[in-house]
Amino acid sequence: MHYLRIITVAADRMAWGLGGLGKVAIVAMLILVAGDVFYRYALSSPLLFGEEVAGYLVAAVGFLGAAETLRERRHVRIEFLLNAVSGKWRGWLDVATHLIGVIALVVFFWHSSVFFDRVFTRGTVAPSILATPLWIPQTTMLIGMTAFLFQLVVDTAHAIGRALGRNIDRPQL
Amino acid sequence: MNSELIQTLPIIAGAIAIMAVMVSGMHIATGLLSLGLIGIHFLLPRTIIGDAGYQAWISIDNATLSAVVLYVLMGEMLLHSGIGERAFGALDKLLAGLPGSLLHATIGFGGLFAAVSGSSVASAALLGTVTVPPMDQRGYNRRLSYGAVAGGGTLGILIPPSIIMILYGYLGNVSIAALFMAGVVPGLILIGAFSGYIALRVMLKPSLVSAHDSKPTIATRISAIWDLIPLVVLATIVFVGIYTGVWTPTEAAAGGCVATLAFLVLYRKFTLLTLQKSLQGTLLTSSMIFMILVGSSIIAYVANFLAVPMTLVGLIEDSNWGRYEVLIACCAIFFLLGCFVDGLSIAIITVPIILPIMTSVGFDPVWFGVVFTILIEVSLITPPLGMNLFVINGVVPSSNFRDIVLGTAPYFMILLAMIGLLALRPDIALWLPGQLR
Repeated sequence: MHYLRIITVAADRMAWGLGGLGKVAIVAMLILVAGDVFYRYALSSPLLFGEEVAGYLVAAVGFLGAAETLRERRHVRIEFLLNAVSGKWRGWLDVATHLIGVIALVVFFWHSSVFFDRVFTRGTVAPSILATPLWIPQTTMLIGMTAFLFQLVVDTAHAIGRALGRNIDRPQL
Repeated sequence: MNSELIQTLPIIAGAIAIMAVMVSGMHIATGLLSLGLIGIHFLLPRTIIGDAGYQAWISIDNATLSAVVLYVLMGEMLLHSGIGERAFGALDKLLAGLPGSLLHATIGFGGLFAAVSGSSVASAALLGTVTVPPMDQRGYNRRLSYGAVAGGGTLGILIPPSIIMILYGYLGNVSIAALFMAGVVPGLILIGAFSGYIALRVMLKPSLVSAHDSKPTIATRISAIWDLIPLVVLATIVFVGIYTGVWTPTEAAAGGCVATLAFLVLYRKFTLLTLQKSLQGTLLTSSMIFMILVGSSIIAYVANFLAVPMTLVGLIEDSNWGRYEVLIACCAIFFLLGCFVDGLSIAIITVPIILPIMTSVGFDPVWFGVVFTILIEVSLITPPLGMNLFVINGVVPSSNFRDIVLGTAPYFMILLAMIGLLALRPDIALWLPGQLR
């Protein structure tokens, strides 16, 4: 149980840290879009890379924030069936839903890694003025999904603990 | 077995699988992801490892979606600075004198504020938390209070800026500016209809609301306008800017955020804590939406590969169903979904499948965008299982569920009547987008 606490703190800190980067991406997005408007209307010269970078920032917000969103219990979860069953069945159903999620994220991570490797080894660049090597923005997908998977594994361990009647307090960050 | 049944069975099985995942207690994002991956590995003739990563990336690497992030940020800043709550107080003071002023203020507050919260469930929770206690204190009839909260919450996503409309436009390749404009007139009609219903009920039975509604002085009313200015200016920046073609919905969102920051400074509400909370709320809401988009994009990829939308369109064309029969069937599906699933999730999952069907039977995609948005909200207050009914029950601990259902039923009927009106007179929605410069 001591190890679970340590791992939980590590997962939570990772989620929190990446969430911080996600927030930086939000601020950057606001500056970029507002700056684009200013350049277009005040200086009659739009930022030609605005749309491309805004897209990367959207992806960064989505992927880097995924683990923090899970930590804060903000991913939508409909507990209709969970509430309909009672006792120990509820606990084990909770474990099962978490486990399916973990398997899905492992398979997805495999797909993302293969896709990332392909983009990296081929040196794929964006068809734009910046010609950004696409592996750079796509790193947010790999890192974000790693943290998401880590956080879900920890949640699953806690769910198993609850199902076994050994609830462990989640340490606060 | 006839060929239609053979074509339909896998689609029905897929729909049941999606519903099962939704209600199972899985996070919707990972649930959709798992179904999409099952589709890629077991339904496609040839699985290419890496496909899911590619689909996920292209589903959210898009500048259009920055509008979602920036509108949510605008709403979060208004929420955490207290400017939104002060606007509710201001509406109450300005409308004082009208029978049931707090109920009208709730409808107005819902229309002004809920639009930017990102989730209709969150909107209902916010409205319930902010507006029910003062109505209880003044002895308002509880059914009327709960109905106004549920009804007011539905307005937010129809009047621009609307997150559901941005997602609909993005997923269906429909102009978001046109959708925003199309929602304005139906939204205003609904505000009028909701307020008219409240006024009628209170006129017929004045004891439903408090006789102690204070009448503020003219000075108090004028000072209340000060509290309303931010929301009115922000709505003007977004609406007039898009209408006159000065800027796109995304640029309007950035302009709205900058103006909100200016109001925070002007009203001495700008603190690092407010900024931190706003950014945190924006991150969580945006990531939640984008992860559902990622999961559903993989399902949509499999569905498109298997030609599911085309099969459904073909089945509808082969049947002798008229366009309004298709619309009624669509309404029935949404009412069912709304009993179990959050509005945003319904929107993201259904648009790629339902929009091609509706356009194939001759409905305008912008018009259907408005009907779709109303349908999403109707589904969430469908008695007795609509999700927002449970949310209100949750955030108002002393509430009685039967009161919530009965209080909400008239708003449900008004929204249904609005869909009927839009079916009879599509120009109610399409007139304003036609004037876009």
